[in-house]
Amino acid sequence: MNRRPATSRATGLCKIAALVGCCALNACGSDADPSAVERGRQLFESKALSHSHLNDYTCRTCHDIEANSPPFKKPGAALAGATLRPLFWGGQEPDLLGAINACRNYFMTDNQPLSATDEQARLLYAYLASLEPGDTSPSPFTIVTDIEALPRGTAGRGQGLFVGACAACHGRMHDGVNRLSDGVPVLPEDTLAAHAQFSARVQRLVFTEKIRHGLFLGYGGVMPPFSQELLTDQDVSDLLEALGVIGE
Amino acid sequence: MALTALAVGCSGAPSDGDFSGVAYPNRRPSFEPAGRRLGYVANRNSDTVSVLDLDAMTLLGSVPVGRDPVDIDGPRHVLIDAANRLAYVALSYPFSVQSPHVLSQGATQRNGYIQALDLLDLRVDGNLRVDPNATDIAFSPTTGRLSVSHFDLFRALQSDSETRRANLVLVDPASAIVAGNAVPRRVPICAAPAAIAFDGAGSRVFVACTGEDSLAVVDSQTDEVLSRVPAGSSTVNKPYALVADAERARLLVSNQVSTAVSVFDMSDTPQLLSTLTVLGVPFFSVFVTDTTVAVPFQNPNGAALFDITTGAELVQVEYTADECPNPAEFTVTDDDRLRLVCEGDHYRPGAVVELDPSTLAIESSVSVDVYPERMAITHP
Repeated sequence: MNRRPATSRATGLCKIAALVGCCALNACGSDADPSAVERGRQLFESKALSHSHLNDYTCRTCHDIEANSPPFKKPGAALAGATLRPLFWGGQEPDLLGAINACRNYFMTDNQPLSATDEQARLLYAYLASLEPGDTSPSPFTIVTDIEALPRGTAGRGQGLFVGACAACHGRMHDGVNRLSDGVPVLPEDTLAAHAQFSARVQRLVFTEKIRHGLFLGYGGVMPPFSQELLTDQDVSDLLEALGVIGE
Repeated sequence: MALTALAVGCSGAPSDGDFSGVAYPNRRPSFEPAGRRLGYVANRNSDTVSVLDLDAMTLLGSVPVGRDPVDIDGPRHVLIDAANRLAYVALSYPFSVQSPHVLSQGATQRNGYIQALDLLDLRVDGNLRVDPNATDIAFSPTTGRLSVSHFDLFRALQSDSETRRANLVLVDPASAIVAGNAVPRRVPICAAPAAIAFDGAGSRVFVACTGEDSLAVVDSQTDEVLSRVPAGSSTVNKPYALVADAERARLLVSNQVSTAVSVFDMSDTPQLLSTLTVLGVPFFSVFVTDTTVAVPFQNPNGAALFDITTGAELVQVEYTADECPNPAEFTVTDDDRLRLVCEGDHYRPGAVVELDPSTLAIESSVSVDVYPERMAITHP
């Protein structure tokens, strides 16, 4: 690995370039030219990682830096340590850049993959590398493929789960205040209206499927899936109860 | 040196300042041949390719392949393009999801893909979209041409006999997939075409036409269908697997209903040379010697060894579900060692086993991932 902390690298350069060079270097890349790590951080929090005007997401929408930031339950893995992990997407993607490009393609609607030499890719890597060591083990990500009817849940607990897992994108329940964009459905009303032809029982299955599959397995849209590890079946039952999608 | 660095740093381009490392270092396992025979097995239900050291009968590693990080890509068959240090794998996207939303919205088939992989670490070097249900691929090292069949049962249910016919896709050269400028040609061939093989010159493609009970021959230069002959001597045969011998002079066509392997010559209108009847449903057979053929079969699980000059069955064995569930494909390496891919039950890992070529007794076994079917081999 050819990555070292910024301070040690700067020290090394100063030894080589002595006083004149070191000072000039600092002047050259300072205020008007933020560091790669800082620019990567800005990119992490910006929609600019996608060139699609349809994109509502930033990396931070779905990823925290460190795991366990309750009450929030973001669908993506915590990213500190990602640069040292051998596998991504529950073991289905062996390359970090491949994992990033999958996010850009599926959620950020930009199907032009970045290469490792693209500036955006390099800056994002610089930022992610600055978060090392973090958790270097692959994050579990079990997708529930077969959708089955879940038992009724507890609305009060579901309200809290909605705030932690859904509100960041969908905004406040029932009116969508602070949702990501006007294109994001207000829950549950917009989704129920879009599936008005279904029985209440099937509507509940559709909600369950959307939570579990997101856009994958033929559903469509741009929503990420919530894995078994992130939301248990009991969590989903409680969420549906809070939404009033009780299947009756 | 320092002044040079300064000049670059102040050239007007943004400086990386605090980062000068290698972005996205390659962390993939590397599969150096190192004088070994390597086996590459696509695992259909775990979206991986397993790489084995066949000399030592050990698993070197399994690497995810495919395009969809959530759904099953269904890699079916790996082939080796040694000249370009590439492997090609067909992604079939089996239609397995029966969710309420997907079905209510009118489920559609997904197109298949061919991925070109770097032989060393299996990283993806290129993709080519083909038709739904990409099933088997064949590669001619002589011409560099790739062929793809599509076992499309949705299409096979069409009422019109012509629209039932799925395409044989031809890619010439296959390595153009890496450059991104491959232009696939499509030849409507037959209903539910399954296994395929090139002749030695790379000019003919032989196709097991499951849905038409025939063996078809395509001129891969003119895209003309040269012939369609019955796949066997029974009233109903149902061909599925098809394998050519090393000299590309004879074909072994495995018929699922007649439970027989038809031996054909590889002429433009293939002639049936002999028929080998087995106990179960035969899959991908192999010539062990010039006159003996090993046939794996399923339901029951087992294998048989035939003398094709007499049609005599020399050996027949049955395997337990623990030994080799669903035997799928025999292979012989240049050191005359015989191996068999065992599919498993399609939910738990399958295996590659080595057999005694005379008795077909299992001598060793290596577990791979879920639902392996066929193995490609590189020789030192």
